[in-house]
Amino acid sequence: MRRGDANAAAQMLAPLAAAGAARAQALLGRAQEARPSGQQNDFEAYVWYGIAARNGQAGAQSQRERVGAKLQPAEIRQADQIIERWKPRAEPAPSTSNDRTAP
Amino acid sequence: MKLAAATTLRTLCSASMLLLLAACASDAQKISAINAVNQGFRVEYEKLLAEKGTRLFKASRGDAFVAMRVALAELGMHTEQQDMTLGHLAVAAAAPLPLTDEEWRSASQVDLPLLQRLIEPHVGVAASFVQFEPQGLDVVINAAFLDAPGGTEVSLTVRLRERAPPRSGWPRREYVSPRVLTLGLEKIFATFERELKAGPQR
Repeated sequence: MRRGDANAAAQMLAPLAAAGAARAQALLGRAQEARPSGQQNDFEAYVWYGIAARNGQAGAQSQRERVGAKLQPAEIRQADQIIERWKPRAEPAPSTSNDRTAP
Repeated sequence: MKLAAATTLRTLCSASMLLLLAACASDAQKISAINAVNQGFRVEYEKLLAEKGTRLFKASRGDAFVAMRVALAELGMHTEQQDMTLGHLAVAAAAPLPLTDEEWRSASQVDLPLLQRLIEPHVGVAASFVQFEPQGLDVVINAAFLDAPGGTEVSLTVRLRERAPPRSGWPRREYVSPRVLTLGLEKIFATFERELKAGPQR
């Protein structure tokens, strides 16, 4: 995935991932990692890989562990709690994950 | 006027001396010193987060999310990532935000002896001349919002991210110092609570 495409990819994948599609969740993890430097979010990449792994996506667990090596133990605990309690949305909804506008 | 000039000159000389002495340590010594700092600060960081990093609020997850986003923006932090479905918000700003310069300075002074104690075994006397350098660092905060009985559990984690290399040439640390963390958490949660009370959020 090219870095310039990562934001657009994340926007496209977010509703599918939120609805529970494991493949989209793993790809969203990858898109979060591929975002331009300074906007990269290893935390959300870890969360989406974790959710994808929980949903049985092949390879997601190893990606989760790889990204997890870049996080603090406290961040991993925080992210693991999000993964544990995550539930798919009943219907795909527009994502806010790349909205950089301040309120 | 002469007095001011002399003071400025003295300050510049002292700063140059500090940089010179700090530069005396070898790269290997500096790296092992920063590893020791990260390790030492991490122990304190984990302890403080366990005590003060997570709080339960009587509010819905959506309201808590929006209130925290507004509170952090009020403190000068800009949103890097937000996902209400996940219950995750990532914000960042140039250090010392969310603290003011004065808050950072006074908190850093409290933490300075710990910093110097941690690096002294690695760099010897140069440890006495090392100072905190917020310049070129971003403070990155992750906030998580989880449904909990009676409300929403809000947890915060904090890390430092390098934007520009430091003037001293020392490697960067990743963990914030204990007093800075304590003050930061208190300030964020206080602003958040004010914002939550001021609701409605949506």
